[in-house]
Amino acid sequence: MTRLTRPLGLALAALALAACGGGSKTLYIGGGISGYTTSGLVLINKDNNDTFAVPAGSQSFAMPKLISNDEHFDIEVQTQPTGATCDLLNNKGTAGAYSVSSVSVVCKPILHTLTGTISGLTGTGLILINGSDKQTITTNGPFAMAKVGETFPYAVLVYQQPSGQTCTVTNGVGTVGTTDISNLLVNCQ
Amino acid sequence: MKKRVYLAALLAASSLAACGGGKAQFSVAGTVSNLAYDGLQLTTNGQTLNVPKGSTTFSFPQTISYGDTYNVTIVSQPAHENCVVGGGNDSAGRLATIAVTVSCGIIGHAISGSVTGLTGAGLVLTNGSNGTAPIPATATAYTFGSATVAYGSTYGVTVLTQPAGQTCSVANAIGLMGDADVTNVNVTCVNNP
Repeated sequence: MTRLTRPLGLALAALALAACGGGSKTLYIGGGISGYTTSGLVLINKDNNDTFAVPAGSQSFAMPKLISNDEHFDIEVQTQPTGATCDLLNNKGTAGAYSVSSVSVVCKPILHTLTGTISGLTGTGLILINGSDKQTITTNGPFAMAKVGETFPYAVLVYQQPSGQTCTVTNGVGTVGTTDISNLLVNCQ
Repeated sequence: MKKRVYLAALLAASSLAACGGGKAQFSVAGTVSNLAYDGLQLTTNGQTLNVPKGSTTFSFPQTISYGDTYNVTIVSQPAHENCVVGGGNDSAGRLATIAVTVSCGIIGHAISGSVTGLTGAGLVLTNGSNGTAPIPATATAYTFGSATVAYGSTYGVTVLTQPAGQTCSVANAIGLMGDADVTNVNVTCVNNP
């Protein structure tokens, strides 16, 4: 070999490798995200240990590392976000000739109960609301509003007072954390 | 005599055409979703159709012929709702059946009000679990941004977080959403003693 032909041979070999696809990482894996309103979601491709911390509120994603055609992928949730649970669809497969954009991440808020106790109620017609959630209360004792998602605020108010009485709500306003809310107190006089 | 035969043939041909012989007939029909109130009226090809509340399907009374163009549009919206037509404009027979979609949703209205006396930072209002409105210290008015309230739903606005050094109260805080924006959920703030 002359000095000229050696580098040329190496270049040709590299070109041939690239052309047959062996080791050429040119395809991305990604998809859509729905219901992700908080932060903290981390996705992982278990087949190449590639991780991606999804920015808060994202509606789509693409894993940082590109993959080759014929390379298998397995996208999973490594860390769930604050206050929600995310599930994956179309998350395992083998890349073909094109990038994969069909992985789907569906997030739903973790719901907590919002309950308390009614006392002193003798009249009829008491209605409590938490925004658009409306509950008619007929008896003393335990009561429940509709469940509320983690990290969401709540504000339980008297929408309609019972006949001949006035009720007041204690502990009616707050923000749902990681546990159920059970300390609402409604006293009627 | 010959003239009579021609006439008979002509009459036969015209009666065949009248009963649609030869051309396939298509019913302009489809599905309706979330139609909770009366008043929806659709039109196409010179026909109008009232679609009552609770309907999940509709079909115009007269069929149209293969190749006829249909264009289903809304003549009048139902009360308290807004409907949109999907796949309403095409040529009969291009697809095996005509399947128009009418999707309806209850109209949402905004909640807003004035802000008086606010000087502290950090005020946040909430409408139950249905949306929050952070209000900057210099504000003289506010609106619950994207969180509209559907017609017929209750609302109850309260202070979720009081501003620094002040206590705010909300007037006209509770109600049932009608057909217009609510603009009188007013906030008044006073300095803490």
